[in-house]
Amino acid sequence: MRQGFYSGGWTYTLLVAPILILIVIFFYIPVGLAFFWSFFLERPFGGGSDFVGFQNYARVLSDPEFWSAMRRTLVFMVLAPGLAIGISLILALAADRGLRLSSAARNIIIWPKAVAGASIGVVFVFIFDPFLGVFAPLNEAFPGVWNPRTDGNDAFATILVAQIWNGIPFNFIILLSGLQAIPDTLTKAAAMDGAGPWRRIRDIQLPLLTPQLFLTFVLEFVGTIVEAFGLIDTMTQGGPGGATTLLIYKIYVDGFKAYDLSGAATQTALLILFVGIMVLLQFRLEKHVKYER
Amino acid sequence: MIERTRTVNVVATGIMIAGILFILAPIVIAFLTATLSYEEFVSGGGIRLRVSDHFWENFAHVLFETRLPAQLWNSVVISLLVAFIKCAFAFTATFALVFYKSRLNTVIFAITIVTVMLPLELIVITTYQVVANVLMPINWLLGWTGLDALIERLTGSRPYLEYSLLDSYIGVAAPIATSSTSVFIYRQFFMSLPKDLPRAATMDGAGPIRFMIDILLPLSWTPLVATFMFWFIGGWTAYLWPLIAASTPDAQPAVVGLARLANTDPDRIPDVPMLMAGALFVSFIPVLLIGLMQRQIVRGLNLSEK
Amino acid sequence: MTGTRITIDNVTKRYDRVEVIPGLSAQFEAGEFTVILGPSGCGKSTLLNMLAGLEEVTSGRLLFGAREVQNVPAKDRGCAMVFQNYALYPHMSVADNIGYSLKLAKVRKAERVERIAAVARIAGLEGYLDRRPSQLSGGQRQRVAIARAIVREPGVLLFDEPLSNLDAKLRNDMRIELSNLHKRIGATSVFVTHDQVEAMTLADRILILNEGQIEQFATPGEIYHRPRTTFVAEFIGAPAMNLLKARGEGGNLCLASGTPMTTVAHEGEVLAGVRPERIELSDAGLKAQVLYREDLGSHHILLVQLDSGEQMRLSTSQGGANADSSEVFLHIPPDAVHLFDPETQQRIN
Repeated sequence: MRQGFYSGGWTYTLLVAPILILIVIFFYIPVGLAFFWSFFLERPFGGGSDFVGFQNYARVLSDPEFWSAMRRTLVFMVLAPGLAIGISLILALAADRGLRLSSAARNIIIWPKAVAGASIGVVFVFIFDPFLGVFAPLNEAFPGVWNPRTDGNDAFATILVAQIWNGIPFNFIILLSGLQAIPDTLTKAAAMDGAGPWRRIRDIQLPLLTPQLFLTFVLEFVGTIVEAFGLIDTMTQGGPGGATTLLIYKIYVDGFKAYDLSGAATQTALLILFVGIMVLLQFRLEKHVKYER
Repeated sequence: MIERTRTVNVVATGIMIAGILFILAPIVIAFLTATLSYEEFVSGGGIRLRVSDHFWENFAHVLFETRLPAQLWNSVVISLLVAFIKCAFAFTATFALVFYKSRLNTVIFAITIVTVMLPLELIVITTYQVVANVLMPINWLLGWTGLDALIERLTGSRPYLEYSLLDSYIGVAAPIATSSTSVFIYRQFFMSLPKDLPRAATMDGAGPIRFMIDILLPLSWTPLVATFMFWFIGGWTAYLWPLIAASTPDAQPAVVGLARLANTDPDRIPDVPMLMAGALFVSFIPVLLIGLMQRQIVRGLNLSEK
Repeated sequence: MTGTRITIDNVTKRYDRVEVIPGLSAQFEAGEFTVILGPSGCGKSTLLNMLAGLEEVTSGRLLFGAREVQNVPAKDRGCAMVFQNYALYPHMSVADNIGYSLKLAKVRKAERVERIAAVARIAGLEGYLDRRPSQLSGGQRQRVAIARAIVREPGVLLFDEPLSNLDAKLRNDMRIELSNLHKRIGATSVFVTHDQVEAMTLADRILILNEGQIEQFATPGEIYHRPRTTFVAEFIGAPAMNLLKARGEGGNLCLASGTPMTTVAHEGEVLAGVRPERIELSDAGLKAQVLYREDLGSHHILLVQLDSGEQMRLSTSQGGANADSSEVFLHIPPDAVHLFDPETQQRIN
């Protein structure tokens, strides 16, 4: 870190105080409270709490519903970022060729970034409706082929498609910026060395794009854990039969519908630890993906 | 172009067309459906790819018979608050972190960056408790220091401070604004500036605050505008937290309002055309913003140099 | 404008535990042009920043005239500074850049415009006042930086390697301009650089700094012809002075191998320094092999090896004797030899 120039305690304090106060009150205290409640049990009729040690954890960890929500979260965390980034990468490679359609693609593909998950959920739930949606004719021909209201896999797929639709723009923009930052001379040098366009993607563009690919994975992994909430809440409410109950939705239901503060806090604490470990792992990896340009 | 690559270009164009279609399809379907009347929709058996002439009817329904217009205003205020807090607080703090020499720099930087890694949605349960009574920490302080007992002895009643920010603009906006990604972006930008600028300003007689306002602020216009737009959109599209923090329709932003609107009697076929009109209504401001300002946002966020 | 006499009285600078300047005293006369020269990390920029008020003095006193200034804020010291990368405000016009300090000092608008116009005339910037720095060439930006510094009519003008960003030709031109400007303004100027050509051409006196201490503080001529330490001897002059281990024995200066080089009055172990251009080629004398020859057009530089193994550089004029031969004989005039104590590295003769 570069050495600063000014010195002076008072102005320094005044400058950093707003953000510190904000994040202490609305970030660090909630995080601390989550861990606090994971060790305490609220008395049923209010009026305090009792220390229960690891009982809350034992209860949550022995709950099969927690594990199935966790499993679904993991599957979703692998599929959604993988597909969203893969598709974005292909689109970015295509758009990077500077064709007539490129600038239109660049402008339009960013739009979903501005559409809330919950809003697009409202739209997608009717697009995928078994009787009113685009697959309704299919159902008329083969009754029961497609029904996200009753079939868990269909429901999971609708959430996945909506999540990908929402996730493409940001990844696309990051990857396209990364591609465009690769110096022209490198592409020319590779062409002089006899590498065709496909070969160049594999040997030049993808390796040099590693930092951006890494960044998109970091952002998407954490992002998908939480962003799916708006989709789930508007499209399936966790159903059918819990098939789309990801951990984030389960915490919400436990905390605000079942009023199980300690259980929700314990799951929150576990999720925080999980995300924390993921982020640390990613940072350990980061060393290996940086190039000096 | 380096070589003649017709096939590659045809494939690339094909991919882009497919991508654009995938992105546009739900928007187009929403728009087409919004032009149908409820009767047309029900009798037609659902979504059909044709244009009808009832768009303004549905739009008028959204405007005059739902709470969405008022909630759109809530969205505007909340998003502006989120964007302003995120930009202003991060700007002054990052200025201090980059341009002051202090042992605290590294610590404060670390404290702010942790917020980027844990999204608010993860901790809504306890954030709700805090926002329901933001003075709770003061109660704890009174308890730990034993001051509450002292006050009880003096006044006869044990003090318990309570102030809820639920259903208020600031209560919805503040927790969303904690994620301090801006610090990252501004820091990168500040460090790219000539390092002698603050020295030159000092020689000219400008102190640190003067330097921040006269020199740094105008220079930072590009990243400031870009991040402001970006956080504005982020505030607009937030769902889980506003859903919890704003329980009354009067306080809810438009996205939550739309979802509540869709969540109606399950036995009746919902008024899908009106809902689609509503979905377009709550999305047009941020989509317009990103469509028009796309270039500035991407440039200002400096995404290529991550 | 008249210059202010600067007195540095036993000034030290410490960062945490590292002592950058261990105690330095010097005096720059009013109106004098002093160049502080030294390798990177020698503390020259630190010294300049302390004069400017951009860094605190750990201990000691700084006097501008009779006024103690070490605790006075930068803006009240009556000095101005020109920075290495110009540090112009990119979002302001040339006129606003120049006038910013006056605006902060609450100078009236009419007077401001007048003074900006006046320095713009001096710096040759008329017609550019409405432009942004990004629309100017490197030399013009440099002039804006100078104009910005002199608009406040400072008694002390500080320069932090201001020419290092310019290309070679422009640097030559700016050197002459700076020199003329200095004569016209009369402010006491302190100029930090690591470029010895700038130092030799611009300075009234050069202060050579090494590890925070003064190696020598004298006129360019004195520094070149009578370097006080081996550091100065090697630092000034290109190619650098040859330094050889030698011994004074019975009136002769002998190399380590015993071969006599030239005559000398000194007895005992010494370090003998000879500038490359003072070594003459002759028909007899010290025999040496030519290892490498660089033809620079105006002169040749030869890298030679003596029979006893020592290597030396010498420069000969174009077409000097036996220019092509691989074997040469060297003559070293006795008055060309600088003698240094091998222990203290201080000059002896």
